[in-house]
Amino acid sequence: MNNKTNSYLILASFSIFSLLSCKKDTFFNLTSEISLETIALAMEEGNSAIANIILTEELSEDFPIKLSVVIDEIPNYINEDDYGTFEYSNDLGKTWTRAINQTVIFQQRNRNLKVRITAIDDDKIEFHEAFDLVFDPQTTADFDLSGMLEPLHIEVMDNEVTDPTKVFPENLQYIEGALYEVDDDYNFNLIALNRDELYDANHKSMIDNGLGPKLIEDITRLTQTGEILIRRFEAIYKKSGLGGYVYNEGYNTDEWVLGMNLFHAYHAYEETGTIPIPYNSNGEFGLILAHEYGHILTLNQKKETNGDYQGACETLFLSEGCFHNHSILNQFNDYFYDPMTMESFNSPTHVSDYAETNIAEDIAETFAWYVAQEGIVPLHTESSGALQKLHFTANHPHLTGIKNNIQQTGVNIKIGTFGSPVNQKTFNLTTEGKRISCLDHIGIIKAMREKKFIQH
Amino acid sequence: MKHLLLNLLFLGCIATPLKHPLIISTSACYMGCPHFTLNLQSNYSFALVDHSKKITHKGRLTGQETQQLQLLLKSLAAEELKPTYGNQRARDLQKIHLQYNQQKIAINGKRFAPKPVKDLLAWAEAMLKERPK
Repeated sequence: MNNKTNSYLILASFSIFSLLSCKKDTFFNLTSEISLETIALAMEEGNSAIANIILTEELSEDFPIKLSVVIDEIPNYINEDDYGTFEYSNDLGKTWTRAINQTVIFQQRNRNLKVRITAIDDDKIEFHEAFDLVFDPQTTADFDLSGMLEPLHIEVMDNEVTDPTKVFPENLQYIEGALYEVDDDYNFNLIALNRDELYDANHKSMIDNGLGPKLIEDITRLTQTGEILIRRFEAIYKKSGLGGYVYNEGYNTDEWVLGMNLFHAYHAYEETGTIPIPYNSNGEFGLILAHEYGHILTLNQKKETNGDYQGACETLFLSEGCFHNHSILNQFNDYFYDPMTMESFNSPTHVSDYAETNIAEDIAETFAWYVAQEGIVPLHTESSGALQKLHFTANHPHLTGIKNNIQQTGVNIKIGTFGSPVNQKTFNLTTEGKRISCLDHIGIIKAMREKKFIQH
Repeated sequence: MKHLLLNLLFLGCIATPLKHPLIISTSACYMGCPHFTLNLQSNYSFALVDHSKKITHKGRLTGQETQQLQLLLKSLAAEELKPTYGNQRARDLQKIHLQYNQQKIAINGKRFAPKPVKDLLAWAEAMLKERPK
């Protein structure tokens, strides 16, 4: 090769280099359409969700995108400690950079930005959570980005599995709320949750942060006034007619499960619907709690029933077993449910409509009404069956001191304002629409003589 | 002729009669669950007793109600129903009695009912709610 040829080659190389360099230097584009690949993602705790932000054209400058987590009006909102920091990738996920100040950078000469968020894997039983991830491109006026980035809705599925030694897997479907195990120190430990039954954000907060301290205190103190404790507690939260329930899981032992619908602790029933109230401010939740505890006091194995089978039982027999001769319910049965005399009691024979359901509800309702009232009017020959039942409850030796113990707990227990079927609205109500106080013995007698009470 | 065709079309849409009366009965629960008895005859005439309000509604199901019911009964037919559901020792849960195809089913606590029964109950509760007070 001679010198001339060499000169041509050098010149040609320089020209090509200059051409390429010139082309690179002159690339300029700040116009593109921007979009998100999807508007919804789901991930399990411990996993990540990746959002793909797409440009139709490469741009000649970087631009930042500010990210924010929005949980307004999302009842199953995510908590801040349930997700990690944001990361982003401009090379299709080969390398990731941690976002600073929740800001990611969409680099120039690129058309795909991946944003990754990781859900923290904790050991808490909680509702599945969600949030909206909002993207806000921070471009200068020179940019012309058409299209828009819709908020990305991300669901985070809780991955805690219920311990099968605590709740049989086949029984999980029957849990309506949050199930707590009550340990020997009366701590309430959440062991299972129906994640389909989230009522609102307040409900979620109760599960995340624990049931309200006053609620726990009331349940703890009231259920320790007698000798029978609860072993499990189900916190239901739904707008339904269910107030609560109890049952004994044990056979020949007392392993009581108490369920309470907390909706009634935080809402009052009005003619037009329900309104939120401070915890148990109207005392209705307290009345339900007293009613349920009335069941435990009257149906327990320790003092009330023996192990006899129905065939061998010579006293009252219910699904809880055969009742001791001197048990509360057996004596209640002898006194108020004897077919020979039960028709002889004056109306009202029960403290509420619901008390008429069966003998177990009758005594539980009577007990609740007994503890809810300051005093009981003295008995008279014409006293109603309901008043006689209140006196029976007051005087049964198995219930001695219980009312005083319950009143000392400070639980607000009031005979409520709720309507049917606990139809206390007609209790002691005269046909003229006047309510005679339970404490007005003379007024009651007078109204009874004049047959002015609404008959049940 | 036009009316005849319409009538034929209408007759073609008439619901198949129920083989047996359907009875749904629910108890009260402690605060006020819907407490009613629904007695539905083969020809879709019904008596619906609202025990809380002490009112009885009588009539015949509307076309829409009949259609909904038929779908629900189809799901129910696919379910192998047991005579009892729920925890019989639980106090204050709503008790439900269902008589379907001459089979009697007792449920203590709606939560224990199989899904087709829950759906049927929701339908009956909606029916109760929609009747004039």
